[in-house]
Amino acid sequence: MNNLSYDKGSITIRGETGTPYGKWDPRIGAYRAMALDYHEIRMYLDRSQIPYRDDTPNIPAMPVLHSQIRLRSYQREALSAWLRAGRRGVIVLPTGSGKTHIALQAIQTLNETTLIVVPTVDLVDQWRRQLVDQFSIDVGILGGGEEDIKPITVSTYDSACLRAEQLGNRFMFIVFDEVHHLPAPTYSQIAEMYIAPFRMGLTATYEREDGAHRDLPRLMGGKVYELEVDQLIGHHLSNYSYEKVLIELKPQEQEDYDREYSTFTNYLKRNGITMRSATDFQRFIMRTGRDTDARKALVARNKALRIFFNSESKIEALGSYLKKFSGERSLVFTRYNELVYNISRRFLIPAITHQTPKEERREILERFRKGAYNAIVTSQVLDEGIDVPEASVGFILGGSGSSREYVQRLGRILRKKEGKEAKLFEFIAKETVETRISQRRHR
Amino acid sequence: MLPSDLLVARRRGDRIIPGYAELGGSSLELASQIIELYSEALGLKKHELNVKLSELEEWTTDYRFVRGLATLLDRRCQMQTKTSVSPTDLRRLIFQASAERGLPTSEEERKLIVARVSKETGLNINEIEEAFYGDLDDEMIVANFDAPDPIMLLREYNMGITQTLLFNASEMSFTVSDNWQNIFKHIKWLGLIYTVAKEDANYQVKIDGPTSLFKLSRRYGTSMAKLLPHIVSKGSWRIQAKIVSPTGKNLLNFELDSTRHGYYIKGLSNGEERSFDSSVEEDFAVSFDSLKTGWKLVREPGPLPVGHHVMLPDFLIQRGGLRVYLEIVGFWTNDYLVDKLRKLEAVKDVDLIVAVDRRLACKVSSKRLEHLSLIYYKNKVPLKPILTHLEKKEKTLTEKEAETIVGTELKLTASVVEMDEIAGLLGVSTESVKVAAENISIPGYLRQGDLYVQKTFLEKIDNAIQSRLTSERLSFGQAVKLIESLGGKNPSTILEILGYRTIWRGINPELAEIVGRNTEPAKG
Repeated sequence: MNNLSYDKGSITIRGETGTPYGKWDPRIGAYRAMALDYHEIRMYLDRSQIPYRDDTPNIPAMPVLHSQIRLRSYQREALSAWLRAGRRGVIVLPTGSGKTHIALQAIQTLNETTLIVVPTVDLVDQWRRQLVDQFSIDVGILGGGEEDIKPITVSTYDSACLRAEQLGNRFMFIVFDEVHHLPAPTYSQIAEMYIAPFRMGLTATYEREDGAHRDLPRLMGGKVYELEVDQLIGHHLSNYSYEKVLIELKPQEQEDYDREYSTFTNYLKRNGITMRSATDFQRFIMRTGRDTDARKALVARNKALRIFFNSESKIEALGSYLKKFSGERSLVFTRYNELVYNISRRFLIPAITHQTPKEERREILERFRKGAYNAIVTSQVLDEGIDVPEASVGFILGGSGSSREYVQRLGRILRKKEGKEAKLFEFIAKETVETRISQRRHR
Repeated sequence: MLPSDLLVARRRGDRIIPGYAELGGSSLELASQIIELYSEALGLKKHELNVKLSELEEWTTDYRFVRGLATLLDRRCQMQTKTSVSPTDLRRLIFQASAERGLPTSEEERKLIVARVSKETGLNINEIEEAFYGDLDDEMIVANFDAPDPIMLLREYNMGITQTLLFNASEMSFTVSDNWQNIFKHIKWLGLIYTVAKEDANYQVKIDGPTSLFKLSRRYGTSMAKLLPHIVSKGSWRIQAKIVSPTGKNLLNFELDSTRHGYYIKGLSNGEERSFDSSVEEDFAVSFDSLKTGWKLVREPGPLPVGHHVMLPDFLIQRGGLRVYLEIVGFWTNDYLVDKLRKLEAVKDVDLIVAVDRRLACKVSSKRLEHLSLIYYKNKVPLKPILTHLEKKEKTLTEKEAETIVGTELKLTASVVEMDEIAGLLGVSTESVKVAAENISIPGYLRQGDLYVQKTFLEKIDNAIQSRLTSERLSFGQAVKLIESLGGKNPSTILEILGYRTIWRGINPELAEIVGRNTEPAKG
């Protein structure tokens, strides 16, 4: 008789028969397979009528779930496509289209122990609230210093990865929110080290710039349903406008910028370096460890970038825009925390960064939703998934060149609200490389 | 451990070498300088200290070195918020006031709002500005700093970058001379898998993790980094690791050993190394030693290979060539026990006594461990069954050996040979020779007790004594000198073989008289 058991993120198969999924492990004198293959191994053994004992899952008792979820038509379609695909695969829908609801319905339909994996602590909190509201059950939390495992648990990617050895056999269903994070070298281990046969991925941006999304079919099943923004705009999502606001730097700022930035470009010219890709830049960064001039060039470049990211002209312009839209709810995005705090101090509006205490963060968002605050300034922490449907105006004061970031930020203010007309403004310094970074974003 | 972006390392072909700090010269100078900077920073805000640090960075060759040292020193600082009010509560008041009054777009409007909060809280404007974000890391005050010795800091730094390098290790192997118990307990805790191979006189231990089987994985690098201080804390050691290159495409070799690097790297001091509860072992060692059995007790004698694994027995009890191991299985978790039993089942060709806590008796199926000597204990490991085991072991061995030497014919040349020497020649214990003595033939020799004497040599001595006795008296002392002058040993045994008797008159050998085989002692 063969025996399957879970061993720190993998499955050991003891007994006479190997399977096509296991590999002989001389270290322990048994076959070993990835936890990812758990479902396949069982199916193989069943099909081949090989007798076995399965000690792999360690599943707590699951309460019976009740709820009154109402799905929209496209949400129903997405769910049934996923069910038909063997309860595996990725659903691609624009931000604000209610992906969470689809997952909640799936959790109720399967009624299995479930781990929901999300990118940030804020999202852990948001999911927990929704699960409690929907099912009136205790929900486990993993991440942000908390560790409380329940039949339904919400975790950050980091914690799910770190604790994979101990938790990999506790859940039959995994939901990956913002699943485009999963196919990275570290996080893909979550998919590999958990046995969960049922897997659902949710995202608005399936493709990754590095092409790693091609690994998703192996890790959790491929794309099973997709709708694009245009198909929902006006009907299920708000209309929006986008405006580029060109800002002239203060004369002193422009002078400082030109000086610092030319230090950088001169170094590149002198050393015959061209910058076309992220790899080129990475190579340049490596140089800074041994070449003092390269280091100086990098410092100068960073100073130059800071000048236009933090430009006084931009802050002034932001002030007048904020005033103009003070009747609506605004979100301000910056690249650096430093600017977040400058703006917060200057205009006395609340700030959220990774340093903001959890309780305060919760409170700020709560008050913003209720209208007690009408603006929040943040760096990159609110980029993903936090639900602030009340926001209708967005200001981008500087971000990276990534187009995903742009879409996500746009998503923040596109949440469906009756009669809402969303507006997005991007502040760009004239006569600087910022114009180029912005172009890259809109590619 | 340091953040990955502060790792300084050089590649030479397929080797990778961390940029270790010398414990002298400019490195030492820089270390002392930074420590001083921190010592002077008491009462300053973190960002003020950071400004000074970045000035220092400007003129050093590698800013990562400065930041690495600073990271270690940050851990020795206690930070405090300057203000007595809660910044969170204060911010709530400010943001509320601002939201109610409307966004301030001019300095004047802003002042009005702050003034309103000042009135509400009784804090003055400065206090408000100070406390506004007083809880941010950069706004915290250095309240206390525990300054290290600069050399120690550099050794910590070298340990730190080595650990950081190991974050990207896919496998690591090592040999050590000491600290086995701690190292293996940590391997287990860290969820690593090891295999052991014997290399010369050393055991080479290779570690990776369960999923390393499927693909090159950095997953266990952090655990290996955590293990490192335990490996380098005692004795001599040698470490090899495979480091996955940043691109993930190449494997680089990393090597470290106590002779070249021991001085540069800080391991764990005795106090820092976690000690395990071992009162049962302690008690046993003390009471066993007090018995003076002639058996030597060795604590934590090092690894005993069991297939690809090792056992780390608590004791080795040895005497001559006899080796008996003792393993004390205390009251542990079920997982630990299952693992231990699986290993014990696999132990072969080793004499192992397993002392099991009585509370575990029901869980230990003695049938599977029949080949081992199982004893049970409660609170204290009983000595009696162990001593009985040792005696039996000695006896069995003697009987077995005696069998092997029966019928042996030995050629000797020395005039007098002791039994110990015979045992040595035959490669068995003296006890065994004694048992088999009747059945060992040594032509031309006579045996008396533990002594073998050449017959021709006996005749020579007999003649010498006889010729003395015909003319004068011979004292025992004189007889001894006579025998020794002819190259003999153990004179009294030789006299006994030849049938001479000694008449003692007190304890002085010069007054003791040798009498012939058939003569009466001379009177008066």
